[in-house]
Amino acid sequence: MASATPQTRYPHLPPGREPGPQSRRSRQGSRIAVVLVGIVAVGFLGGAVYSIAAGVAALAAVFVAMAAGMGALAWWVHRRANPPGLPNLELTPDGDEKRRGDSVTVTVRVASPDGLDVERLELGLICTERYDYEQVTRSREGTQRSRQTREVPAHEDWREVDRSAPEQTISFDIPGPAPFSFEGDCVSYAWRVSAREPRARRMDRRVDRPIWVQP
Amino acid sequence: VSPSFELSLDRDRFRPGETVNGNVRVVEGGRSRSVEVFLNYCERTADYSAVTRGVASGPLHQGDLQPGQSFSFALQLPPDALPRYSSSNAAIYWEVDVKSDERGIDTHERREIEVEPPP
Repeated sequence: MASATPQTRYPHLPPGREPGPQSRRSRQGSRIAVVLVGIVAVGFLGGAVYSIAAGVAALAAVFVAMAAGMGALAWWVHRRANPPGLPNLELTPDGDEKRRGDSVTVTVRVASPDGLDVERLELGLICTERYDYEQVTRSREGTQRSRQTREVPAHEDWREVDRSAPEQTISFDIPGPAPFSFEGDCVSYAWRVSAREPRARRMDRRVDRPIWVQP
Repeated sequence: VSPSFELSLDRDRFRPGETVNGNVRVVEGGRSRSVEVFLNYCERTADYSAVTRGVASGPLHQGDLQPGQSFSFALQLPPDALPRYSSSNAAIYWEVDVKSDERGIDTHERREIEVEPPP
């Protein structure tokens, strides 16, 4: 069986780049969260089955509702790490190694003769900063501290493009003072070009291509 | 008693691959097992910090420290040393760290240096 490459496990990295400790930890944490929430959901379903067998229909309904809530939470955690894609859209930057001050030329091509089923389409150059912080939760049982990672945009340049054009090319500048790509233990910077369909009240559909920006 | 140090460097701004020359002077003597200097690329957020990569001098001195003692060091930056970057949430930067290895909490004297981006 073929093993997953770093790029399939860490889609924010271009080929040849290794993840840092923070990226490894975040991926592991996300998978564990999905599994744990899934196990709790199965437990609630078991409670529902037991309640039905015991003839307590009202309790069974409560268990089913709680299982559905847990299932939705597991799906949300999974979706946050794996946003919905844009089928039939190809995104090609003119290289995946750049330097600050360079420009990136991106070709976006619709690979289907039927066109693209989107209401709006935007193309962007994005750098995401991920930094660790300590989350403190206080309860009657005491104070709990946990290490969390927050994502914020360090650079964003989105441009609306013609969704009906079969192929178009756009250039973006990487600003000189912007961050460079970095994979660290408590802070990381990841660059990508991205095409997205902005959607109200729903997660945007998108296609990403990572690039590595040298200082 | 913990020692204290005065750290002086030949300059504060360097290019990748250059050598950082400096001197450590013991201001207050104290108990120490050894003194070593590190050139570290550090990460820092409000709650966490880490050293991504570093170069060590090896022990410059072993044993207790007396006021007035002085140790010179030379540490070479890697040719691919990254520059500094900081945001409102985090910073990554190079620093020189003088460490006195002691029983209990070690004594440190740290100084940030600037490494220029490659031309």
